[in-house]
Amino acid sequence: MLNLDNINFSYGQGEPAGGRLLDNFNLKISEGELLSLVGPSGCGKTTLVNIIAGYLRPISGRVIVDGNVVTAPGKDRIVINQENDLFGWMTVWGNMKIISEDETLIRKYLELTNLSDFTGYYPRQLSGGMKKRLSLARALLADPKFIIMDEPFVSLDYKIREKLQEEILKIIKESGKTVLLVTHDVDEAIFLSDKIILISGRPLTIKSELKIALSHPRKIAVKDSEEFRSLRNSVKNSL
Amino acid sequence: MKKWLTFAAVIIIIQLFFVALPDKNTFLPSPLGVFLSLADQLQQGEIWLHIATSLARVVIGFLLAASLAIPLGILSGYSRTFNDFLKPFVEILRPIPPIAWIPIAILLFGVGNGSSYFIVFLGAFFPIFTNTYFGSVSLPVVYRNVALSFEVGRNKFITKILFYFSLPYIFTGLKIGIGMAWMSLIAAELIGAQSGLGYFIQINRLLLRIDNVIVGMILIGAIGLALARSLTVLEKKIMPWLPQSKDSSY
Ligand SMILES: Nc1ncnc2c1ncn2[C@@H]1O[C@H](COP(=O)(O)OP(=O)(O)O)[C@@H](O)[C@H]1O
Ligand SMILES: [Mg+2]
Repeated sequence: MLNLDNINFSYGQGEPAGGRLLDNFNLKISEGELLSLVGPSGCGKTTLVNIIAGYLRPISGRVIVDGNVVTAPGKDRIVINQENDLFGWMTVWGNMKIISEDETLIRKYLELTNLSDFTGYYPRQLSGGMKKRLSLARALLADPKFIIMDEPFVSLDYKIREKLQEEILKIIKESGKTVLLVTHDVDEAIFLSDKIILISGRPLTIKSELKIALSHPRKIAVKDSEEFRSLRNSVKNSL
Repeated sequence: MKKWLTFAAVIIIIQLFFVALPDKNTFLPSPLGVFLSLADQLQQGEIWLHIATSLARVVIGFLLAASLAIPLGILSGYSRTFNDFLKPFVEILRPIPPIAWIPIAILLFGVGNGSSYFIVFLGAFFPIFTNTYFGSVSLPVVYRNVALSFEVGRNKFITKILFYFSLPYIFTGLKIGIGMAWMSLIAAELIGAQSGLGYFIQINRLLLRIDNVIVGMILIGAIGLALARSLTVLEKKIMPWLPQSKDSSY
């Protein structure tokens, strides 16, 4: 269980004119769920991710993982970044190898993410979707308690994005990992999540929660279903 | 190759100019005269000794400089404390031209090769250090974050992430450094050496053999170019992950 307990945060010194980015923000993420935070650009999603990951220290408040307060980044919470976060000078294999010496596991996760045939490729030789799959493979290799995905699909074009969403959802569900997805894309959030939390900015505020009961495995075609449409409508209404 | 054709054309035009000159007693030799002297020198063999001497000096001094400047540059970028310690030394020493060190070098190492290595070292060190440092500090935050999250150890972080990220910057430093090293060496040989291409120029100046002075200059230019080019070749071999750009070397 990941617990955010009364987190306060703002960039720079003193009280900013527009108010704090995070003002006593609380959040609970339960084991095994795929939870999405959906909010507009600039509302503080990446900031929150950086605090959970331990890259930023909150002014006050605690990040608690399984009862322990965490203050530094660690293998238990792995972020898949908005931007490309692969080491450009390492091959696919090298990017995995720097995380773990266990070659059997490396092979397993490269297999799982369909990258087995590209072990010798450098990131610049991979497509955008393959890069994201490698980031996911690398995250799984570290066997974290939580995977945090910060707008992982933004840089991809529409067709690739939908296909990748399907693939990544399948891999995540098979792995049983707890995932926090942060996005501004409502359709993406509905498609991937077990639960959606709608947020707004300054300070970051939870507007409403929504359970997504679509069955697994989910195919992209579900986006055209009546059920999906009504979920989309109820999100739109509460925004 | 095309650019060398125009280069040759300009030389030929200068030669024609010399042929057309009514008074042949200029103190400057014609391109053809220089070319004949060059062929003559290369045949005599003594020039090869000077070339080999200068090359050995520049390579040894340069390798010494690189093997110190690269680790120091990486560490300066890695550790704020270390950088704060090193910075005053670098900033005060960097503006001193290597040849200003010649008196000290001769006192420390005598007139032998030791002085030359030292001068070459000084010429190469600062550009390599500065560029390496610049690479090391400009590591994107995302890489540092990834390393922290995956708990990549400090040694691995420095050798596998920081160093490799800095490599393109290091090569920029090496290419500037080899040029500085070569220039510093020739200057040093002009002043206080008993061998090498700088010495060859100096001795021919005293003998009033301006053709040989120019032969020395041409060899210096050609070898300097070859040194820089070999680094460009090495750079492409060593960093296959970079997109192969068009010829941008200079
Ligand atoms: N390093 C920073 N320094 C100062 N302000 C920042 C910094 N990073 C982000 N911000 C500001 O904080 C707000 C939230 O940014 P961010 O967390 O990136 O939002 P989101 O990820 O939801 O788009 C924005 O107004 C942004 O301009
Ligand atoms: Mg963001």
